[in-house]
Amino acid sequence: MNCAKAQDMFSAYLENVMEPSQRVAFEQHLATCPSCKASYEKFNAALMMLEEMPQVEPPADFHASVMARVERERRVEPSKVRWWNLDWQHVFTIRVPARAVAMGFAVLLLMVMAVQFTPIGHSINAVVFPGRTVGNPVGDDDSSDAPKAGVLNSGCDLAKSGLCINVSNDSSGKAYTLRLSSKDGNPVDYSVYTRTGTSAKNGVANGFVSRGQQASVTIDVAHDRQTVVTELKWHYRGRSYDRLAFLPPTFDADASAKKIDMSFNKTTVYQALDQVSRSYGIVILASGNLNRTIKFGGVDDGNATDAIYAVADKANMTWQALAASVYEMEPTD
Amino acid sequence: MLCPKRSERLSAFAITDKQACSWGAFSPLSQACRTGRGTRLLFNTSRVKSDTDKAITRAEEQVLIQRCKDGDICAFDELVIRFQKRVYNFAYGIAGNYDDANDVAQEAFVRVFNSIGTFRGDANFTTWIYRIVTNVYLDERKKAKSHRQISLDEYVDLDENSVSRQIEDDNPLPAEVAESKERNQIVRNAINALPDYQRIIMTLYHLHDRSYEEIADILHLPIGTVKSRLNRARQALKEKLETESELFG
Repeated sequence: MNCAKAQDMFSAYLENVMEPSQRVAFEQHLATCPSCKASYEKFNAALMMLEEMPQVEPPADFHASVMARVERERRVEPSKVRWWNLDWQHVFTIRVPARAVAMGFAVLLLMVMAVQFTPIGHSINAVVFPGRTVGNPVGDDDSSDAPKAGVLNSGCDLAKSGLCINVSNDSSGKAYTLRLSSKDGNPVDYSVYTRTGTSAKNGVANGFVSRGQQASVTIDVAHDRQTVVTELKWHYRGRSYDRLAFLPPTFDADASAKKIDMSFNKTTVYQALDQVSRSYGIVILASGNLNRTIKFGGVDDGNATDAIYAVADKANMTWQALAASVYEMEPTD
Repeated sequence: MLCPKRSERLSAFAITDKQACSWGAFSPLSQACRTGRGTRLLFNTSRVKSDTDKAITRAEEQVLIQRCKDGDICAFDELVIRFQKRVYNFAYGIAGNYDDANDVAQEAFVRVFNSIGTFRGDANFTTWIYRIVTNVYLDERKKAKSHRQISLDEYVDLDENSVSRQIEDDNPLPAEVAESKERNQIVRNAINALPDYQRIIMTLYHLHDRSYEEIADILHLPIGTVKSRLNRARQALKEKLETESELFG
């Protein structure tokens, strides 16, 4: 092996990608040629120095500068297209994504078939009012719309928020299970927090829900005498969603028969719902700003529905019963 | 723009296999995965992430990218946080000075934002970002060349035999400057004096741990070309540093 050939092999030797016979020849050459040996050592040392170069830190305002530039770009409105400045050539050479169109038709066909072949009364989701569906308990053949005790279903507006929430309590009444599902192709990320009384928010679980999967989060209320307020946050199509579930320490499936006196005065909506949930043993799912203060209100010898009505009336919220002892409240648009 | 705080965001991006995992259960797993260290070159001791780690990161990135495509500015905000150090370091590695690195890295992120809709989900996002930074840098060089704005560390020509136009700095470095700092500056100058493509390949391979396949993908070059240019660049670096007698004591 001559010196020029040996020099060409420095990289291969360094990366250890040489044939064994070549390697022996190379090492033999280095052993007998002090100049090549010195040259290889310098080659090696130079690369070592290169790899030891420290990393640099971006300037402190780098992130802010990037985001400011991106914000500016977003605000620049695209120029209006009018018929006289339209790119007509482009209009006639528009390319249609054939595969996407075919997929679209296939999906449409499947949806039509699904509707055709689904027997009425056995569908998993029953429409409660336009735009909102409620999950029926699985295996329940009674398709009447009457709320049922024990299984607590929540609102589920897939088209709007991307996530379905189903709440149930176990037979002992010591724990609730939130079941989250999504029909969207993209995983929906969620976080679950709980809070009792005035205690700080406590992270319970987080993760992703994908189509066809279900995430269950169990909230144990056995040790609490207070309502455990569970906050569920998730993201869907660039928006953040937030829902609170007031889970009472003792669930009473028959709360509509319970008549009690209850009053609130200058409390927040949150505190009022907490109180109603605990007093009647009902689950309340609520969204919107619950930090607003509401004026005097309450019920005398009223049942759970009366109490919910009293809070909703003062807080300017709409409400509905999702099942026995399960209510949903949301701000009036 | 109101994006959640960093700490909240991090927890929200932990991913689970099938069901909800309990809070914080992830860190021990990640820690366990991160103990492995590996070497690629004889002396390269850069940290090698485990496959699980990589898969998690990849899955999180996929979600972030999809959310960016859906117009979620907060998801882009998170991507900038995740990639800014790497992008800035790569921009610095190839541009050779802080000012140009800042311009190139910022412009690269703007380009990522504007063209994320065209990013194919099956491609490697990191490779895609490196390609964008490289293109931004080469575009800026072309622009600078056409405007005849020749800065102090501009090169006369872009071909492989180009010569640095650097003006010699005769001022001796202050005595208190650490030896390693001085050495790093010498190496940096030597790297800056390499032709563009050699410098880019050297930076990707030695400072960003990219494989031959990835570099070929980033630069749209055949693997053989990448290998031969890297070999030439290494020889050139050695020759440039050889003249600095104090380096090799």
